[in-house]
Amino acid sequence: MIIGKPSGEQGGFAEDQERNPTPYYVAIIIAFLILLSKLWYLQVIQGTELADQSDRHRIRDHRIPAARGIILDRNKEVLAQNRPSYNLFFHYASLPKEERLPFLETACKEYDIEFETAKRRYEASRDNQPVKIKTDITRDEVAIIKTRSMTFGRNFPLEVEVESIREYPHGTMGAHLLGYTAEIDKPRLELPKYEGYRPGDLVGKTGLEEAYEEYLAGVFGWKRVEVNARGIPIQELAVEKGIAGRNLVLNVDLDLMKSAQRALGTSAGAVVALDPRDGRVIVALSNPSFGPSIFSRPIPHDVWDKLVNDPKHPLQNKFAAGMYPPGSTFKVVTALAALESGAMTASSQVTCLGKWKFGGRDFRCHNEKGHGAVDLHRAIVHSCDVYFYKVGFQMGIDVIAEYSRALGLGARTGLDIVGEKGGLVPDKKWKEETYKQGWMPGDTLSAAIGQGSMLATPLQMAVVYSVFANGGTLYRPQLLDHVEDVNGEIIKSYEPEVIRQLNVSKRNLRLVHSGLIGVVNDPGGTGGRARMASVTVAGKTGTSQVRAIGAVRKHVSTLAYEHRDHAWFTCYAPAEDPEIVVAVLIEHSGHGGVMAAPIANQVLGSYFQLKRKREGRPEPESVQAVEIGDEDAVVFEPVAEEPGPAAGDGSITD
Amino acid sequence: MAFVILLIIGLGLLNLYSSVESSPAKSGLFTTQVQWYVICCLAMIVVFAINYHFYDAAAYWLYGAAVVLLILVLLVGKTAKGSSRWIELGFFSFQPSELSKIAFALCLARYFSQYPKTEGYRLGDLAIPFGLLAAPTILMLMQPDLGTAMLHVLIFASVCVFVGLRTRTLVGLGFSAIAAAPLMWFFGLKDYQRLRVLTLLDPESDPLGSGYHIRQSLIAIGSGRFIGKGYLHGTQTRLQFLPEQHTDFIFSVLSEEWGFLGAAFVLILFFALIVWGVSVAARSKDNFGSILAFGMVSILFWHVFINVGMALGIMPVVGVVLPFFSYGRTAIFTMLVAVTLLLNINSRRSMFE
Repeated sequence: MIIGKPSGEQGGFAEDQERNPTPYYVAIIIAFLILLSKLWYLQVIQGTELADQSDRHRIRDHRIPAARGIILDRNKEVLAQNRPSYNLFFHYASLPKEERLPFLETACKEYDIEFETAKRRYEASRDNQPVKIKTDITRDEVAIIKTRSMTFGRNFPLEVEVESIREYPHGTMGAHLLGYTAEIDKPRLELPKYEGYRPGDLVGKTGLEEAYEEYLAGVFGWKRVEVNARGIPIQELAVEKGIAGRNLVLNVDLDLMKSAQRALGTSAGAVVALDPRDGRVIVALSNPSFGPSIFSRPIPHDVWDKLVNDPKHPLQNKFAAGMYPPGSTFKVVTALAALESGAMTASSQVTCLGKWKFGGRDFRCHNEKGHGAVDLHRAIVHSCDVYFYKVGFQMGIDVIAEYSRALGLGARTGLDIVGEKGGLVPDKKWKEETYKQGWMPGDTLSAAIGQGSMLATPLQMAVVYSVFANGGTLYRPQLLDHVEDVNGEIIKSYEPEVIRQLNVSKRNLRLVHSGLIGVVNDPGGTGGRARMASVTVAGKTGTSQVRAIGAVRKHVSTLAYEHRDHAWFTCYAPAEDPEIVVAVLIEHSGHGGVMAAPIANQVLGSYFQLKRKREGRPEPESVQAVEIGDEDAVVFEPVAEEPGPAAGDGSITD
Repeated sequence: MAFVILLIIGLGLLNLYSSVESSPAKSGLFTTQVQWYVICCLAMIVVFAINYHFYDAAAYWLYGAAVVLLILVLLVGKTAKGSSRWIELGFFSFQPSELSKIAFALCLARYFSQYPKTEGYRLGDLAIPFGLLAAPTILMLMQPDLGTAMLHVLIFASVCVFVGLRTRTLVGLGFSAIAAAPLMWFFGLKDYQRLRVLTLLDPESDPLGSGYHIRQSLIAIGSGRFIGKGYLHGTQTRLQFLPEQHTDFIFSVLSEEWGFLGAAFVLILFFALIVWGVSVAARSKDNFGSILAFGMVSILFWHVFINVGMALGIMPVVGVVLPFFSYGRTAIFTMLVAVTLLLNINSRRSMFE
């Protein structure tokens, strides 16, 4: 048989004969049916799915971060805001492979970028995603790139994208309080609180930025962009604007923060100021500080190393997370406990001979000559250690610990920022668990004067003194006054929060209070350097032992920095109706009366000055501190304190 | 039938416009194509006016010229994407391998009409036709131009079936083809060509290479669904996800924008053209006309089938254009010659006495 046989009987090619086309028609029909059925399958059966895929290819959804809320002080001064940062992106997909690196190299030369770093980023990128090669380019550079991309059209490989970054207009001022923002980290991403966040999102870390993330962050917006095969955006399809973050209005007073900063100078330490009437935090300063903006970007190694290895620990939040033995500032707690427990009355007297021999050891007073006969008032005014040893011994550690805790020590105050530390109130149970040792009477003596294992933060001491200032109420310290939206509408107000009302007699509080007035105002009081002409100040000095220095008196300047004692001064004013409590701690500086009291004095001075200015009242002649003799660290009269000789587990000062 | 041809040309131009409109670098191609149509149509008047028996006489000369051009391409051709297919003539360049299809079909028509075998051809009778096939095919594989070489083989096979083979010969040839396949696979094909065939079997195996092209084409076609995204609204096309969208994958553009309705309509137009061509071949009164007509039909049919099959992912990706739709000056000329010769043969059917 013959395939394709003509219809003649003989087959083959006879002229004048029509051939039978049917087999070819059949073959063509089959061929076209194959094509049509595949077409049908793709377009009708798989159509929807493939249409989705086509959309997935061309549509990219970008989230637009909402403008982060700003942070304002009580007078609406800006503490944290946003500014645009122009970043340079390399759209390598718009270049053929072999031209990419040469182009990148030229661009790096032109825009002063480290080529190796840019190259690494380019090589690590995937899916034709543009690579960020420079952040924060100048406006001139932006202009150049914009002009060029106009000339080159859509495929110009460089693109500028604007991103909002956090800016802190007062530099390092208040960094520990404000915190900072940085790219979200893995552990956070797994927390329910951060649901909806994605790697690369900026998020508040530490401080208020972290604590009030939910208000500050706002709601992300969306931008739906159509991209071409090379990932280059062609047009915006839809934009859904996000909701701007809320603004925080703090209780903090920037001007007072600044004057506290000036007063601190270069000293490492902290200043906390509270309003004892409601617990509002007016100043919360830790020194030295850092520029919070540095965290918005990857930090250069050298900068990081410098921050971490600085002996003054600029990254540490000293006012809320720095724990120090409170030294003699703690004596108010011992005094109140003694009066309340009946271990002592206001008129009970103790004789101080400069030391107390106890358990075969000498427990010294900072005044070697001794204070003679002292009652409660004198003991507080002159910070007599022997008096408090004896009172403490009489009460025992349990009573001391109980009153310490009642006044807010040994636990976080509940300040509204993350990372606050709770300090430590040592007692029998704690020592047993920690050291597997029994509690010794000597431990009680150390605890009674705020030494040994007793630890408190400057914030906690400010809270303790607030209780004496307001007559027995423990408030939660609050940084945030209210949250408002962009139009200034108040979203949420934070009312003062009473943690507890102390069940103590007003009379006992007043006894301690009058001792505190004496510390600053009586002749020979240890806190004379905090005295003011126009306002009565009540306060207490303290020096917390860093190490036992031995019995030999040494001038503070002869000691290595890290071996010097910490200086405390905690006070409030006006004594008759207190409206501000100030706690000052200066690390490794010597003694409170000399080093910390003048700083507290300056903060108080500024406070009343600002108050008068804001109330439009004429300024008084002077709110300066009364001059108090010399600034020498070692004072041999019982006016100021000085480091005492060591007595084993922490000797005594003040 | 002239109406159907004009309709195909019209739709082809409309579709080409859409495929290049979004790409500034290619937008000039549409104008070029239109201009070239005008020039070619004038030339076709001549091709049509000449009695096709003149081509009978000129067949071997034309074939010879085509082979010489193919050799020239290898010597002085313009190279693009790794193969040299074009001859530059200053003002324009052309692809000899395209013209070679027509010359080869003419040549086969002449040979088979000169040596008719009423009882069908034996293998021995096919020695010379095989020789005629070998020359251009080998030259094309050297370029390399796998697609056109394959088309020559298909045209040859179609014409052989049409003129009639002995059953034994046909079976023998079939078996040799099957036997030759592995040899061809290991020695005849280049790596990238093997990859294309493999990709066809499993597009996911090479998602970024040739698999990517097929994938994007399938997405473009499928996403057109039943009624299409609308003219000039094909997103895969406009956003250049489709590779070679103005040449090899032009059918995907059509399917994306016009949907199943439009794509099927165009396929039906081609179907009508091809069926009509077969009827011309069947009704022609002389052997040369008949075989030539069938040769032209095979050229059209295989182009349509392979190109559309490529876009649909049922044929390997070999550069074969869709007649009247793909951009390409030599290709337009070739296809116009093919339909003009069919019209020529059709109009002289009754005149041949």
